[in-house]
Formats: sequence, C-alpha cells, structure tokens
Amino acid sequence: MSLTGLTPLFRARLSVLGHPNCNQFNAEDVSQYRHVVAWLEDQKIRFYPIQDRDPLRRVQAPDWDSHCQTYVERMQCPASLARRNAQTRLMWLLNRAVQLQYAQNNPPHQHDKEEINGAEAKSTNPLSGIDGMKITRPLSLFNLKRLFQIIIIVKGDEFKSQVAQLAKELKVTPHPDPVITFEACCIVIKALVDKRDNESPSKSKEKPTKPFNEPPKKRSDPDDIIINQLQELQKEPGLCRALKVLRLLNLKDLRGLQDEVNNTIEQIQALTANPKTDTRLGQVGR
Amino acid sequence: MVVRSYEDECQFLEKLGPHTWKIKSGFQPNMKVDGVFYVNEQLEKLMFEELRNACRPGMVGGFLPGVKQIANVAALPGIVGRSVGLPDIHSGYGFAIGNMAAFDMGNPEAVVSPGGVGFDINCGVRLIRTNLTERDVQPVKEQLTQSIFDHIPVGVGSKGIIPMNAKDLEEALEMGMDWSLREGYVWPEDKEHCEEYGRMLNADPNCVSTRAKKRGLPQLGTLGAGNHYAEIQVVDEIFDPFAAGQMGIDQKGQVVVMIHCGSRGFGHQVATDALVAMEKAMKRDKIEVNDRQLACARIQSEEGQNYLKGMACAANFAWVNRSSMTFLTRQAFAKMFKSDPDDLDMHVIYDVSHNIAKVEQHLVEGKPKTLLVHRKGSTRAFPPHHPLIPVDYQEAPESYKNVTDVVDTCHAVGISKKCIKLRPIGVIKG
Repeated sequence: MSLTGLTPLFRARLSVLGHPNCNQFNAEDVSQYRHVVAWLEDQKIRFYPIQDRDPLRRVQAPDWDSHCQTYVERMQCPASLARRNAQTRLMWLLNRAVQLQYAQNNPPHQHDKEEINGAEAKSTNPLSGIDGMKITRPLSLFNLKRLFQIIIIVKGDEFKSQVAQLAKELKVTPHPDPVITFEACCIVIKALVDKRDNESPSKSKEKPTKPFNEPPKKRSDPDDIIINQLQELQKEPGLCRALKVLRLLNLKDLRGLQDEVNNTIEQIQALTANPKTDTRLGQVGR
Repeated sequence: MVVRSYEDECQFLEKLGPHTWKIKSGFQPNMKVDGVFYVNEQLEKLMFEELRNACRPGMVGGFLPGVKQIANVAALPGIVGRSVGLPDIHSGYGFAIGNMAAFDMGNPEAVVSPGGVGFDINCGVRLIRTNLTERDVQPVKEQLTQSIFDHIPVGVGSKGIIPMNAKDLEEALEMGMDWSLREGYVWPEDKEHCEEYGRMLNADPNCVSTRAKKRGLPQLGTLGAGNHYAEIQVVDEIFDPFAAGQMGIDQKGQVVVMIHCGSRGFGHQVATDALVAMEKAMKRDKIEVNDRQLACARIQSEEGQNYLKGMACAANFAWVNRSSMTFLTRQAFAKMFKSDPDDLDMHVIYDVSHNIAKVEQHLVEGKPKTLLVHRKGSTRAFPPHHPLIPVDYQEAPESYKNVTDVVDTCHAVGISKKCIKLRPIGVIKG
C-alpha cells in the first residue's frame, strides 16, 4: 500500500490514542514520524524504563533509525516487519499501542458491565476505527475476515499465539496478520482432510458399484471450515456475547435496509400496479 | 419385494426414545441409510396397525404402509442423513406424506423424484392476521364468509376472477410473488414471510408443457378442492406470548384468516409430465427403485433439471395463487368492514410450503454439503417465520389423524414449538 494510502490509517489510530496532532500527521515528514514514535513509547507503550528512552527522544540523532529498529525488535516485532521500512514499523507500533490501550481500558473483570451495556459498549469500542474505516455499519456475520479482526480485538494475544502455534504445527509460514495466517491454516487443513478422504478406501457396498466418472470434487469454500471453527470458538463466553451483539446489530441494520426497500417498492407500485378483478370470469366448481 | 411376517418386520424397528423410532437398514432392499419416524402412543398404534394390515396374506394394491415408504425412500440413490417421517405421516404416492429426504447434489448418482414433492407442488398454508376480534366478526360471520366465497371460487374446475392472459401467466411463472407485487396484488412486506421470498429463481416457463399452462391459466386465485380451504379463525389460546407477539398476535379472540392451497391443475400437470419423462430416464440410466411410484431421475440429467425448473414454475404459480387470494380476502374484509386492508392490519404472518424440493446448505457429519431437500407434507422450521401445523392433507382414507396428537408429538421431540391455537369460525371449501 502506498504511503498516501497508509496516512488515513495512521491518523485513525493516532486519533484513537488521543494524539494531539493526529489530523496533521504526515509519515513522510521524518521529524514528525520520529516524534510520534517517541510519543508512543513515552505515553502509551512504556516498554523501556524511563532512563533508557533517551535514544528514542533524540529525534535529530543520526543513529535514531537503528535505535528504533532495535526497539521494535526487542518488543518481539516479527523480524520481517521490523526490517522492512519505517512505515511498517510505525504501523506495528501503533497497533501495539492500541492493543495496550484497549487492554488497559477493558480489564477482564469489566466484561460483566459490558454485557449490560450490550450494543452500546460495542459501538463505543475505541478500536472501531482500527482500519481507518469506522464500523458505522454492523458487520455481516459472513464477513469473516472482519469478524476475525474483531476476534483478535476480543481475544487479543491469546488468539494470536494460538494461531501461531497452529501455523507451526502445520508448517505454515506465519504472516504478520494473524487473520491471513489463520486462513492459510484453514486451506492447509482442508487440503489434508481432502487427501485423507481420498486415500481412505470407500466403504464397501453390498453391490460392487460400477466405476463412475466422478467430476473433480468441488472444493468447498474455506469459509465453510471457518464457520466450523467459529462454532467451536462460540463456546467461549466472551466471544459468544460479541457474536450475539454483532448479529443483533446486523439484524437491525438489515431491517432498516428492508424497510427502505419496501418503501421504494411501494413507490414503484404506484406506477406499475393495476390489480383487476372481473367477477364475470368466476366459476365455482364445474 | 421381500415377504415377511409382521413379527419379522418389527425386528427392523427400534424404539430410540419415547417418541422416536428407527427403521434399520435391511427393512427394505438396498437401503442406503436408516429411516426414522416420530410418533406418540396413539400415532404409533396407527403406524403399526397399518403395517400389520399390509402384512396379512392377500393384501395387494393401494398405497404401501408409511413405514415401508420411508424405507423405500431410504433406498434411493444419493440420499444422505436419514429418511425422516414426521408425526402425521401417512401413505402417499411413492413418498409418504410427511416424509422428508435429502439428496447430495455433489453425488452424480443422486436423484430428484416428483413423488417426493407430490402432485400439488408448493401446496402451502398462509396465515393473515387482522386487528379484529371475535366480537367484531361474530355478528357478520355469515355475510363475511359468503363474501370470501364470492371472491375466491372453490371446487374442482373452478375459475378465478383475476383476468389473466398467456403472457401474464408466463411472467407470473417466472417471477412468482414479484409478479403479484408488480401488479399490485400484494404488499412488499408479504414477501418477507414467504419461503424463498415467494419466488424460485430457477423457474423456466419453457420447461413447462402447454397443457400445464392451459390448465393453470384460468385457475389463478381459486382454492381448488380436496382438503384445501380458506378459514376465518379465532385465536383460542396463546402458548408462547413472545413468539405470538412477534407474529402480531397479542390477544385471545383475535381474528386471523388461514388459506391452504397449492398450484392447482398446473402443478399436477407438471408432476404428471415429469413422471412420464422420468420413467424413460430411469431405464436409460439403469436406476432401480423398490417402488414404481418412486420414479426419479438424476439431479444433473436433463429430465431432472427440467423437472426442477418446471417445479419452480409451479411453486411460483402457487405463491401467486395464494397472493391473489390474499388480495381477494383483503378486498372482502375491506368491503365488509368498510375499511382499508391497511387499517385492518391485514399482514401476512407466514406462508409455509409443505410440498417442495429445495437446494439448501446443511452440515452432514460435520461437513457442509449442498443438498436437494424433498419435503412432502412437511415444512421447514425456521426461526423468524414460525410454522404452525395445520390439519394437513388428505390423500388416502383415514389419513386425518388427531391434530392435537400430531402437534404434541412435534413439540415433544423438539422439531417445533407450540405457539398459538386457532379455532375456525367460518370456512369455505371445495
């Protein structure tokens, strides 16, 4: 994604974090960029003890970049990301800061309160702008990718680490985005299951069936597998709540949409409708 | 056909729960899956009596007993899961009425069978609510029933009062309730309460014989004969106030109108045509079935596809038919109470089909599969449109069973929930 494409995403995250100049932020400006990194560490991430933060605060220093790289690497940012470029590093830092802020604002014991607030609690979620696009419309349940992003929000690091473990088991190269990693895992699992099914001898039947030319097995959509996995995940109480809220929001949204459609149809009916009856045509029985 | 004594037959039936019976493979030849049926004590007696009668020497002709029919369906190629018999099951043509069976669309040998849908394609029940109470209707009950009778012709060979030409019919067959909507016979909200939104998208009028169209043309907006009826009913009891509230039923004594009808001669002709075509296809594809009435064709074959397209037309015809009758009922009520159907709150609460085959996604043994689900005398239970179980279908004598038994059994095995009880006060029938 080009830099101009990333800018709104940066700004959205900064606004979520309450950065004073979030709307003017320009990642291409080196000084602004370095100031933001220093600000993140000072105000939000607080990874280093205070006395070690000086190298990051000296934004004019020529070796600032290498300090920054060490900094993100020490926070266990995947090496592929840390070394790529400044923007990737910044994005990673911002996401990390947002996560920390969310964890701070929503400690686990607050969940009961959230349940009472239901939909409200969800819509005021500070992460609703995480991708730069505000969740103004509730998500479709089948917009699975988005749903997984929500899952990450809800489950946070636990989900990530489980996906990482799963990827390791399946020898899938991890992608920085756990959703993509998870999708890749699903595809591999599907392939394995298909392979196993094809290898296992078909059940013996009473009559020897003639060999039929079966068309190549239609691969079922990885989404189906994800739905299965979702059913498993739904057993988690927190997730279940989140899913219910999403479903209700989705229903409410659909209702609104349907009402609009109905109104439109009624207006069109004024033009097309011409219901007729002609009692002379009627005939009872033979 | 295997000939066994009644006692031997019973060896294949196993009681799984207080209301659930399993039919084990081997009951009929070539059973691919088990069968299952749901009954309570009274219905169970009827089922077994039917089987015992059929086992007596010299019993030939007529329909096979319901249990046998469930088992024969379980022997059709491509069936998945189980062949299911619902509480009011009784013998019908090929498939028993109240039999549900699903076939795997991914299996090239899987079949579609017109017997699994029945002759009255997309026969169904529609319930229309009003904001009137029994007190409003009781004094004018007879005039009102007469008025509905004048609007909706009944009986074999009756003709409707909605003018249609051949072009209208073609469009209606293709568009289903969207046609009714365009022509102004229904309200946009009505569609939401119908299965498939009142339109099967794969309908192709070219797959329907001229004969079927000729039979169907004058019949739109008519009830037909047999067990079809339009009834003015009163809410007698509310079991589940929440669900009833969702349907707009909030008080005992509220008046509703129930219409039970189907695709008239049109659907009958589509089924007949398909049966003829399929007998040939069965010989060609060497499909063997236990009962000649179970004529079928592979889903992917030309005959199978033609039938599905024609059946979709018939389904659309039935929806248009019920919609036209909804229109006529609204007119009758509006005239009688000198009011507007809108002001009378005459919304469609639901429209459920009980004779139809539909393509649906289901999990089979944990795997998602595309299935062709045949439902004959059985409906799909889905949360927002809650089907009641009306007194249903008469094909063979003594098929009417006590409705209370049927409903209670459904409730007990958890395949549906009791919501409200309705009592008829005025009926028109063929």
